Amino acid sequence: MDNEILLDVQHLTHFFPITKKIAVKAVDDLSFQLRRGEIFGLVGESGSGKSTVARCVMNLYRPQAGRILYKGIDTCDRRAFRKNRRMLQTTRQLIFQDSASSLNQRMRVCDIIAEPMRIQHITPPRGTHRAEAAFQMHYVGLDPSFLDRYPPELSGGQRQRVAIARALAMEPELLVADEPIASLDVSIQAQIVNLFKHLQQEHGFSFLFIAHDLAMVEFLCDRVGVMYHGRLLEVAPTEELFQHPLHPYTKSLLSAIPIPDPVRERARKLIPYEEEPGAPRGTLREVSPDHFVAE
Amino acid sequence: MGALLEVKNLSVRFDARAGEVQAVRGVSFSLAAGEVLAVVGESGCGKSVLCKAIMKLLPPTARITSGSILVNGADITAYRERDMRRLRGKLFSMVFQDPMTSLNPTMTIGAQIGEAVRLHHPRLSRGELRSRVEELMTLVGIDRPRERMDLYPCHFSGGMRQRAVMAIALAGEPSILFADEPTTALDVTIQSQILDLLREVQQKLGTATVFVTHDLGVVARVADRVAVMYAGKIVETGTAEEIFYDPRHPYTWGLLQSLPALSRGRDTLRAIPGMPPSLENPPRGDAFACRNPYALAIDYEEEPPMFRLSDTHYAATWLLDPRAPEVIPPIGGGLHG
Amino acid sequence: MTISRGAVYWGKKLLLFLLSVLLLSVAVFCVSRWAPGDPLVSYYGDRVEKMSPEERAWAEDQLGLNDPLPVQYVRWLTGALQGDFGISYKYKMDVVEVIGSRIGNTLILGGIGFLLIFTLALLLGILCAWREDGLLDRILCKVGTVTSCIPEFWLSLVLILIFAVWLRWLPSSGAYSIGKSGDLSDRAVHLILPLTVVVINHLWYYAYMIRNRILEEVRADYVLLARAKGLGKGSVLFRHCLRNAIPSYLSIMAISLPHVLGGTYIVETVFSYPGIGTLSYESARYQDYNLLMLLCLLTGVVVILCNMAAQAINERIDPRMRSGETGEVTRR
Repeated sequence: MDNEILLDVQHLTHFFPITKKIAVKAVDDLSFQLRRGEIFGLVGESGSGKSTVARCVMNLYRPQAGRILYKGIDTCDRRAFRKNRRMLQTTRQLIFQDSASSLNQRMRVCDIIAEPMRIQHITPPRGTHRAEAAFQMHYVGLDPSFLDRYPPELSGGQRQRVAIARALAMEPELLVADEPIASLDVSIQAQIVNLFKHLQQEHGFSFLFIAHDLAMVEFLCDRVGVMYHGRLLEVAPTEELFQHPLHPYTKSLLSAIPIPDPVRERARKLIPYEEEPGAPRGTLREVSPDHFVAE
Repeated sequence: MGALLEVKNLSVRFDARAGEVQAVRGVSFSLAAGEVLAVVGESGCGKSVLCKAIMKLLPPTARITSGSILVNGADITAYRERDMRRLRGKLFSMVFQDPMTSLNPTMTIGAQIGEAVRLHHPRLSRGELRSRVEELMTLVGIDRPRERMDLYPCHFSGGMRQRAVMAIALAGEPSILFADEPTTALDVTIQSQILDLLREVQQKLGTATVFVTHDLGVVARVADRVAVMYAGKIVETGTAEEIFYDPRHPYTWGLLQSLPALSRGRDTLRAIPGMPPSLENPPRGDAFACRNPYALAIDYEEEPPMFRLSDTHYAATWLLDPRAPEVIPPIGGGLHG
Repeated sequence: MTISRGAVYWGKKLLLFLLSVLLLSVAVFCVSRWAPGDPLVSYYGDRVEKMSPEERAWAEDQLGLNDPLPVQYVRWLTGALQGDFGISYKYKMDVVEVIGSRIGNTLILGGIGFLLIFTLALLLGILCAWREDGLLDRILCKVGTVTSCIPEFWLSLVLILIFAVWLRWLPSSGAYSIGKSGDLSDRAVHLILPLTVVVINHLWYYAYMIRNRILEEVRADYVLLARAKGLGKGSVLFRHCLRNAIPSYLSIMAISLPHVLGGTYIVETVFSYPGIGTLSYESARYQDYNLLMLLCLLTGVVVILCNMAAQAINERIDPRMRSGETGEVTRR
């Protein structure tokens, strides 16, 4: 893994206006970097702004402040975006949590997978769009007999594979996965996580992996950022974070992971976390190499 | 102590367009008063159908084709809707997976809990009703209940809603609580809190609980006993210790192995390959055989019977037959092993 | 002084309403003038044919029909703002009076029809939802589909043929027999056929809508919870499902009031029922400009008001829309 920075998010801030005066701060002055070939996990409870980050990174939302540099291009800048539109749209791909609603119910699997190629007018490397779709399906472990099926006929795990195959068809460099396994069975989650790991190791894909399930994050990610109420509280390499969590919220999150061992699990105590009202808004500080914590 | 709930050889079928789906195929289990039984399996294995079949909450396309359900020794299998209505809420109650949709969006939380209370105590005055609702909300850990009972579900967070659903379920002081994936839609921290709440309620009120989940990882905290279901059948049942420290069925091994906590330091998770079989035409023999790396020839021919390992531990796999080759379990002993 | 939020809200609504009415009046004005036909016919009747060109020009000048359209419109508008909507060419009376003498009949027919449709649809919808896929449900669905496809005028003619011509049980036209305008039972007898047509035509559509809305609710998860806590089928249906289905039904009914009204116009014409519908038809046919203008505006105002009512109901339906804030964020 080289240290080239693929994605650089700087002071990202995004509000959702409720009325003209009140707004909800979904993401508040958030900065992190994603290196080429790494899997960066973003964890936090629902409502912490993880998905908003993913959507800002994919240019689905326009942030109110901050910059998002992808390969050095400021994607929030309209002119820079227009100039590099094709590159930005092909090399970054998004996978949603709920493949039941993010895949068009009335399109066949092969059309779903080939659609991005059609839109971008990419000549399929394997001759036809269908052959390309079949190849990608084989790659993510789906039987080619599913080519002419419709999403509702597939199980959750199979649909999620279709979504991944669709993303892979563009041969992206950055995959943004917004809770891609949260709606799946544990046994199927393991299959998908293995697939992600394989994609990273064999093909050097970079991932922004958004999840609330810390156990899977620990297994899959190289580095993890912990989000709370739109802010990053702690960023560290996975092992470091799980061994030496520094922020009380991280400790609370880690204490909530269930342990598959009755004796130890029954003894496990949940560490509650209450944010002190009016506490100073911490900035990230490097406490040990690559380990940042908000203070 | 006799069993509170006893299910014998229960089978449930659904009419589907393509034919019949055998959702539950000959399930037997019993539940003692005050006990927590976890039913674990992948989606589509029939675990939630099993609970709804016992409470007779299945859609009209489903029917119980065989077996019996005994509650305190009384057979309720043939009960009609009118008789069931008297049992629901009082004898058994249910908590559902998605707290976002299981509350009526246009009724206040207090009204919804109150409705359940009134069913069981029709003669309460308004004031008494309110104080009972308040009591229930305190029981499930909703603080400031007096202010919050007049709020609508949309004002509650997911965890709070699930607590409100629990309050509704507990309003009639049921002997049995069916919890159908109550934590799956929730965050890790909230999940942990709800699990603690379930345990607490069960200890305080002595409610026997059937806890349905796909995640074997979460049951270690709450379950006294675990039943592992696959393709409409219980394939292994035992105490939580027996299942986690000494699992015997290859499917249980697979479920445990796919938990990331037990794969620490490995390169890949050991996922169970393939997909569960369709229950329209269940395969001959052991339904798990085609995903089972330890499958024997006989698995494709004949269904394994339940082998007894101890008074509480049973598993349905031919590997336990004396004639089967010795297989060293790839997992077991929990995190110590 | 600050103006309250409610005042601003209603101010905006009122402005929008006035603007819509103004636009509507322009549109109706232009369309009616551009439509082919001779307005003098309605004023002078058959005598028009014998008029010399000079006489015609004088008559047209008298009625102000020779001025350019904008001038005519402004003249009409100034009059209208002062409450003077002009006279009807045909009846030679103030149009307000003409309409005033007829509107009661339409209100009786439309109002009773609307209420009947509203309640019967609700009852039928509930009945069908209660016995979903039962024999009654299936029969009602089939019959309803057929009846709602029959055109109103044809159904009217068939009913007239059967009950008025063959059986001679019911009168075929009018609102009352000559000289019996005060006799309620006579009026009621005259109402039976038109009402039947109005109700049959619209009933099924709305019954089906409420049936499906209720069934949609029945499939929701909270129904399962309500049943799990021990509620019976009836309580679940009435206390939970209906409660959630009715607000949207109300808003649909509010929007559809003009639709039902439009139906009564046609029915009135076929039955020669002396109401607004017949009047509109006549005024359009005989180029009775002033009458047509006021009738169209009146109908338009009803439509706009209904839509606004529907919108207001919609905003009230959901507690999620009622409160201004995002809700309580609770964490424990």
